[in-house]
Amino acid sequence: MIRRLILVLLLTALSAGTALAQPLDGVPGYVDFGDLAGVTGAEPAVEISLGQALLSFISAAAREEDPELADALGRLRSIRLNVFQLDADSLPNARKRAGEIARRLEQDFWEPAVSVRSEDSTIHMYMKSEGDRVAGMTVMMVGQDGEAVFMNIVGEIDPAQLGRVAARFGVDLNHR
Amino acid sequence: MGNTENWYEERVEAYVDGELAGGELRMFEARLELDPDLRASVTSARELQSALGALPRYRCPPDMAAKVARITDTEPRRWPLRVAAAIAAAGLALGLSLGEWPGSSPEPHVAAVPEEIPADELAEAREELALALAYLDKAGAAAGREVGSQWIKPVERTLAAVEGSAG
Repeated sequence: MIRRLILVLLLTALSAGTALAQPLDGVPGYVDFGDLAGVTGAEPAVEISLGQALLSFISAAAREEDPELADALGRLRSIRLNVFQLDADSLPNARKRAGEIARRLEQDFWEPAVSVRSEDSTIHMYMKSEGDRVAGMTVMMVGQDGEAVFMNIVGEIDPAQLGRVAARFGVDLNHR
Repeated sequence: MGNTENWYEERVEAYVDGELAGGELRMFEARLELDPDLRASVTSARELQSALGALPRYRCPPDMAAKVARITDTEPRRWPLRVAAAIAAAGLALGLSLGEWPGSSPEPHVAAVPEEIPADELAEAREELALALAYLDKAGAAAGREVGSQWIKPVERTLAAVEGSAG
C-alpha cells in the first residue's frame, strides 16, 4: 500500500514536473528554440542547461574566490546552450531556423544587438529588457564550418561582466 | 483477484524490501516461479525502488515536511515517514532541477537552494558554465570580426538604448 502511495505521489510529482519543466516559459528573456534536432536532423554535439539552482550553487561556491562570478551568476535564472555540428546539407536548415527565431524575437520586442549575414556566418544577438533591466539574451550563430550555436540566457545580464568571467575560466574556442 | 492473489500482491513490497522471512518467504518465492503476474508486480516494484534510489541526493531542509504539509493542507499534519521522504525526494529532485519550490516563498522567483550538492556535480556544472560562456565569447568574437568591433560594444549600446528609453 505504501509503495502504491509512493508511486501515486511520484507520478503526481512527475506530472507536476512536466508542467513545471518549462518553468521559464513566458518569463521575459526566455526563448523556446523548438525542436532544433528535428530541424537540423542532428543531435546536439553540446547540450547544456543550467537552471537557477545550479547557478546558485556555483555562485555560492565562488563567492569567496571570485565575487564577480558569484555576483554575475546570482542574477541569472538559466543558461541553455545547444551546439550542432552539421553537414553542408543541413546548414541551410539551421540558418533558416535561426532567421525564423530572430523574426519571432523582434515581434516580441527583443532588441537586435548584432545581426550578421555574411558568406562565413550568420550571427544574431538579441537582448530582452523588462523595464530598465535586462531580462535575457539570445545568441544564434551558424558558421560555414558547420557549427550551429543556439544560446539563451535568462536573467539580469551584464555583458561586460560575463565577458570578464568567461575569460577567467580560460576556455577559448576561438582558435579551434 | 481472489484472496490468495491478494495475499501475494500485498507482500510484493515486503519481498522487494527484503522483509519477508521464513515460511512467508518460501511461499512467496514458490509462487513467484509459477505466477507471471506476480513476477511482473515484483519487477515493477523493483523498477520503482530503483527509480527512487536514482533520484539525486540532496540534504533535505529540516522544515521540509512542514513545508509540504503547508502546501497540501491548511493544517500541518504528521506524515508517515516514508511518505514524507518520498514527497520530499520527488519534490526536491524536480523542484531543484527547476530551481524553484512552488509555494515555499512569497516571492515567486526566489530559488529554493538546498544546503549541499555533491562536489562532482558542482564541478560538472562549473565546467558546463565555462563551456557555455566560451561559446558566448566565440559568438561574440565572430560577430566582432564581422562588424569590426568587440561584441560587447554593440550589445552595450543596445543596453544603453534600452535603459535610456526606460528612463
